[in-house]
Amino acid sequence: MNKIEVVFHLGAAVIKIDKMPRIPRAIAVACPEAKQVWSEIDYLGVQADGIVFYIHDGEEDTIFPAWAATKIARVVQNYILPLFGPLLEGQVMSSVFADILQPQQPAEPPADERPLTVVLTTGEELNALLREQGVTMRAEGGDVVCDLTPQVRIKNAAQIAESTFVQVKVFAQRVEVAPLAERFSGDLTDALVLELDELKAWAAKIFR
Amino acid sequence: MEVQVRFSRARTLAVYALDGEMARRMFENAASRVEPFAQLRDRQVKYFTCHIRGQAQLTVNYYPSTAAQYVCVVRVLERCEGRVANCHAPELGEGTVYKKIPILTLRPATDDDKNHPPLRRERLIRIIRAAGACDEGAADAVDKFWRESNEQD
Repeated sequence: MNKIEVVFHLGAAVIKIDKMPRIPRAIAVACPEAKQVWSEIDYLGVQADGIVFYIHDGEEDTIFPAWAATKIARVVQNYILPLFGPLLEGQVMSSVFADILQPQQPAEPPADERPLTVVLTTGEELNALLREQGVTMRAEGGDVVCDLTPQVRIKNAAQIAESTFVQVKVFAQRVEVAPLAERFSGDLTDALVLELDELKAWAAKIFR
Repeated sequence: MEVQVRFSRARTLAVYALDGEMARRMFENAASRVEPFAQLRDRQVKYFTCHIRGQAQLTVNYYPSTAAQYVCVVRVLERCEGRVANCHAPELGEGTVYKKIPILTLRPATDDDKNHPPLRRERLIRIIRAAGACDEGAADAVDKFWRESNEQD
């Protein structure tokens, strides 16, 4: 069985296609006019914003012409990933592309709803904001639910100490707060954290 | 630098809004000063990378546009496992496992991008420095250009 070779190349996922004739065939069916471009390709890649590019003979990656890019991106997402995903360990490949193709993904069920925005702060800043605003809260299982619009649910609230990093995800109808289980490279989490004045200004935009 | 991976998933840590004019000026001018880490196409910066203590990198993707607003998405690649090629750190061998590689993407804002807090200069500098870039020039160049731009304004 040929293995898909997945390359993480400067922020984009890239698949090598020379041993996978099904990929050119799928492209040829979906976008026959891309055949001339396709014949040159060694690698097919998808950038973080969903733009599709190709690499030929070790040269710099090249963006597909606009008329072909959308169709090829759609093929990658709808046809190629379901075809090859099960061959990989778990659904790893699918998860990589699912994230990278985020801008082109169809609407998902609420459980997998993508947030409108994500911010990081600490338990101390969050607590100060809630106390300052006099927000009414109640316990619900291990979570704490805040009486705000949109409603705020603080997950695993008992795990949040003053120094805990918390991630705040804003969805269309709700806000989720959850402790961050780990730190990242260097002091990246520190660098990303909103301080109280920033948190207040941002919250003023979110809550009515 | 190229890393072949078997396991990976990029997780979004935070999203910020950035003035489009600032993003353009900063990345089309300041980032080019940190060559050879900046990758250019048609004289525009496409991305630049900063190596992290010789082990990994912060990758900054930039998408040129005339948009009035930009969005800065900070993500972390959970895990990379595999072969390294074209790396500036030749001591790295095959089979290396990388964890928590930061990726920073600057893209034009869309209609859905209305709820992000602003990206301040201090934060961007801290992100680049926190990623542990061994080439300090990247953070310094961005810092210097941002200050100069504000002084001109």
